[in-house]
Amino acid sequence: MSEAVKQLARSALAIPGLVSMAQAAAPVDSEAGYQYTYYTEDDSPESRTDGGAQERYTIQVHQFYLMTPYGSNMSWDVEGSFETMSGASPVYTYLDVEDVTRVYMAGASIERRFDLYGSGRYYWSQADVGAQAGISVEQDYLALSTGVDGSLQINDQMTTLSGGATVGYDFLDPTQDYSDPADQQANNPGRFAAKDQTKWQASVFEGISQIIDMNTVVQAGASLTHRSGYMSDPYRERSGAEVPYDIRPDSRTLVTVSAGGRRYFPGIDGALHLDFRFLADSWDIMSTTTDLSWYQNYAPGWEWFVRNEVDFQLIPSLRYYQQTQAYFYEIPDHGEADPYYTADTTTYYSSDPRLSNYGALSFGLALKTDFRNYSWTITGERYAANPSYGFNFDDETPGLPAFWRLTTGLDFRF
Amino acid sequence: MMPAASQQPRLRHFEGMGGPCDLAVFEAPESFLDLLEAEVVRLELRYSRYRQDSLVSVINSNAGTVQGVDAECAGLLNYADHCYWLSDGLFDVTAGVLRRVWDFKQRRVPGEAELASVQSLIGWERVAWDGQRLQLAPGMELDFGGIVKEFAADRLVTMMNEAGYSGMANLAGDIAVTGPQPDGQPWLLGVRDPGGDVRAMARVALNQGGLASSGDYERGFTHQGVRYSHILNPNTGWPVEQAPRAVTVIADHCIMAGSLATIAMLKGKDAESWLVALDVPFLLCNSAGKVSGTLAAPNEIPND
Repeated sequence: MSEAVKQLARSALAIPGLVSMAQAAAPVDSEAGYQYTYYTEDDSPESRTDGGAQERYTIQVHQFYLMTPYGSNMSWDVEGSFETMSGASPVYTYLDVEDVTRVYMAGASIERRFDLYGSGRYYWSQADVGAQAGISVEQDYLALSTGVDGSLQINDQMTTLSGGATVGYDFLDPTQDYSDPADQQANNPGRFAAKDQTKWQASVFEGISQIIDMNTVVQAGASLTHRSGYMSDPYRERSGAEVPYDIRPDSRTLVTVSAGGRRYFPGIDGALHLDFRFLADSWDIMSTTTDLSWYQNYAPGWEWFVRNEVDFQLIPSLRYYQQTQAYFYEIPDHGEADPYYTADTTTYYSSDPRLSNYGALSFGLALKTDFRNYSWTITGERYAANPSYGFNFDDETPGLPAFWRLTTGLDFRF
Repeated sequence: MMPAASQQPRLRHFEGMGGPCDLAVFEAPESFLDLLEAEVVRLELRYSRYRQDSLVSVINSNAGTVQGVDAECAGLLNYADHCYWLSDGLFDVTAGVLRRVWDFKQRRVPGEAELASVQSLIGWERVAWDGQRLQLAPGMELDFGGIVKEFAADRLVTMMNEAGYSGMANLAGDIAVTGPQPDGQPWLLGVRDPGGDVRAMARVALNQGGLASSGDYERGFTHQGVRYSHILNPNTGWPVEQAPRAVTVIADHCIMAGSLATIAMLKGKDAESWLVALDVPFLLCNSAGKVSGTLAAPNEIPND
């Protein structure tokens, strides 16, 4: 069958009622893919950096996946990834004796992470359910997760209800220091405190999407997540302090609500996607995320070799994020004599910039190219976080990252 | 069709969409066949240009104004749009007005002035269609012939699939099946001889999808020594020259088989090379009566 006939089949399948939803819902093709990501953070400004190392994180990720139908009503999906991280990261932020905000950076390190996820899905005529399980392994971290989800189409398939639940359990083992515990506590108080600690999380989510007309879909969702256990950052520590330099509450509850819409414009063969999410948590963080993207299709009708048309999709996107700070976010003042955070383990405090008042902007540009059974995607993204993007014009928050991310992937359907 | 002796399908014959309709459904109650027949009636009531109260007649009578259409009608129009571009403008749902001047029963060749008067009302590219709203120029008409009967056959097997039955729908030669017969055998179908012979021109095996034919059959005529096919080129208003006598195509869905067969007829002498390039199973009887195509080989089961 030629590509022209396959394209005609897609137009036929788009006619409502031509095929039953049971046939349409379950995937008929297998799909395999590989994706490579290169992430590099801007170097930390030397003038505000303490500790020598200024070159921040570089991360490379190799991801593989395979999805295959099983019978006419099921599909399986396996995903694996291998990630290498190198570079320095901010350990803590402080005010020096001249009240200048500085960041203490950890020395360069190389870390590796392996992830493996598997899922299965069963399709009925107007519903599907899936179950997943995953494991993530780092030298100092082990995370296990599992979940179920499902969707149901009602109202002549104009309305889709979806929902699910996930649970996860994480094990922390941040120290490879086997010296005397007293020495460990003195030299690496954060890592010592986190040794053999665990945390768990449970999350439920539900969503609704409604087809308004053949070119417009709106959707809304809500989620509730509860985390419990050791949530302090073991690596935010100050040698000699004897107590961790980052002590966070041992429970956190997060609520999100989201709304969005997609509208396709047939005349120019493009679609506008707009999504908004609001988050509030028990650490007093409130955040909003706004995503705006445009999907421009371009089918030039080129035929390479014999009857092999190439189609393109260009996706510029813009994301704006802003949040308020956690109630225990604080930049310690090293000019102050004997501050409580050098001895107190009962008061919560953290100078993690991700818990501060800040905003972030990111711009992305993706190009997807479809040729025969192959899809090739390349995406570039620029992200910059800054206190002033989040309506915080007073406080300095050094350590917030700015990065470039390049992703490219090849998918193959067979 | 040759079902296993142990398992006979329930059969239903009725008239619909301007022709004989035959259903064969295994293990289904009569009430289910009533539902299938009602679906044919529903589609005929919506898309027949012979009924003044049909959706199509209402759309045509409102030509000149911007009209919104429902999702099913929009899906069919999008499909027709795809066929228009696929056929380089030969498959045109606005070409039905040519029947006003070509009378194949009276065997009359229209004058140039008559043709010019309707030619100005043809041209899908002149229809404002944004995927949702339609605006026909005043006097233009839509004609879903060549799409709707085939779509109806697909709808019937979809209803069988959804209800868990297997079977076949044959709407005057436009055929769709849910899959092989319960005993695993393909459906064996006779393709009508375009010369009007009661014998089948060929027998083909259908395992899945749909089969449809487009043919001149006995509807063309010869006038003053010239053979006029009833297949009309929307660009010229004249019958397609050297059109095949008949084309039969097998595809994933009957609607695709029907439109590919119709476009092949409109391609005239290029019909066979066009079908070969598309790589679809087909049977073609050319103007000289010679039968060719991938389905012409004996004992071939094309789509198992």
